Amino acid sequence: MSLKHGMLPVLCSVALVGSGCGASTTDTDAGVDAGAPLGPGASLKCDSSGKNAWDTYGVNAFVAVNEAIFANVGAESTAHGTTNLGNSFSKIGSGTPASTADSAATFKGKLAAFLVYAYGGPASITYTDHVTYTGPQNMTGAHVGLNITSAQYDYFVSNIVVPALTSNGVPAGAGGASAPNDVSSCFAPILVDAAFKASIVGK
Amino acid sequence: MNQRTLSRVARLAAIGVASIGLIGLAHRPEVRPAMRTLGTALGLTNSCPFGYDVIASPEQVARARRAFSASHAGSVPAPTRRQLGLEVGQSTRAEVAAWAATSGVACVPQRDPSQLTCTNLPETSPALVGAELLESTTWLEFDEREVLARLTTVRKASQVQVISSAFSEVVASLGSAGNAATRREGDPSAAFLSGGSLRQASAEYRFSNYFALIRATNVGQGYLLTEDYRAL
Repeated sequence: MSLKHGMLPVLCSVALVGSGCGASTTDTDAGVDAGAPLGPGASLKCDSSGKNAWDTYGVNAFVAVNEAIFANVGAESTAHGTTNLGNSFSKIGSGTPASTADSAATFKGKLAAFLVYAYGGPASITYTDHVTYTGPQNMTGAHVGLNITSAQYDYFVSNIVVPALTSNGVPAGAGGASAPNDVSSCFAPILVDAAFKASIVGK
Repeated sequence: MNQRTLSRVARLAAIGVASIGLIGLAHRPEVRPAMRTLGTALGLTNSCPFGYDVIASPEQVARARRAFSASHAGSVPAPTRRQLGLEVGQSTRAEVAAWAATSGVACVPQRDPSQLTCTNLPETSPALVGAELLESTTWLEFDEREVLARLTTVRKASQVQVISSAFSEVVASLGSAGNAATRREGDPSAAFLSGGSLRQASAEYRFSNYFALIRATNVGQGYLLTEDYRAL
């Protein structure tokens, strides 16, 4: 996979986000190899299984959700422009152009790898394009200058991401073993973290 | 949740929402060239894979609307398409401007001239009147005839009862106007919504000339009500 030099550290940084994400040989999370780095969602427990999202849903579900997010966003943008999801995306194009070999599949692969890692999966995956992508990615500072509003952020989570999860079989019941809500129990904490939102909105 | 878990969760500020993060990341100067290639691969003229950096042509937008209509339309026309003092598929840009002026609504044009972002909308739902809202934003979109094509509102409150009641009132209002929900999902009660982050209730309305989607969501630091009304 060929990447523009300037993009490599940003997109493909293998720097783990703090030592807190590093694995411990005493970590007892089921399904996670001892010594492998762990994403922040690795210790979350899904109502339906008692295991993290990766161990519960596996690679096929993560691919499906990834594709659904892209589909939902694509429908918003092509039909209704930028308003609901932010004019921040209009920033692109004002810099110096340069060639790169990244394709649509590559972008999807990188997002999928991040999702897998964030929710307890391995630090790298081989996506549907048969390319291996790295999960841990340094997101700090990625939103400076994009002017994403709180409303746009909230709209994205509630109208793009949550439907992508529920339409792909992630239960959203009343909670507990009898009516599991895996959206809340093992996906939401990463998506509603106040500190993360504050790092994106209004920058 | 043990200390290790708390520590990991606390790292979320640096990792965050993957999709939002990578999308934002994709628009950094270093990334633009890759996105331009991606955009080209998707048939777009610029680099954002979602096309957000491109102002779509009227023909593209019309085509996209037709595609949405084809997949979301119902079989009978809606008894009414009027919400919040405006009517999708009917209100012209000039009428919207007049309405904004008399209502004290402030609207700002977006990069795409067919879109407006408005604030200070007068509330029509009793639960929202006088409520202290953390957010209140409305997005308007006009079609090639300069007629209002879509109206989307986002309201956020710290109190679950405000959003729960507002959701029920909006649904009841749509029902009293003759618009019956095509699909209901989740539970809009305060007890359910407050039970966990990203708990959600929705009501969808599909007509031959109108689509509406109402959602109430627990977004962690508050509760969100989104209303989406589109002319088909």
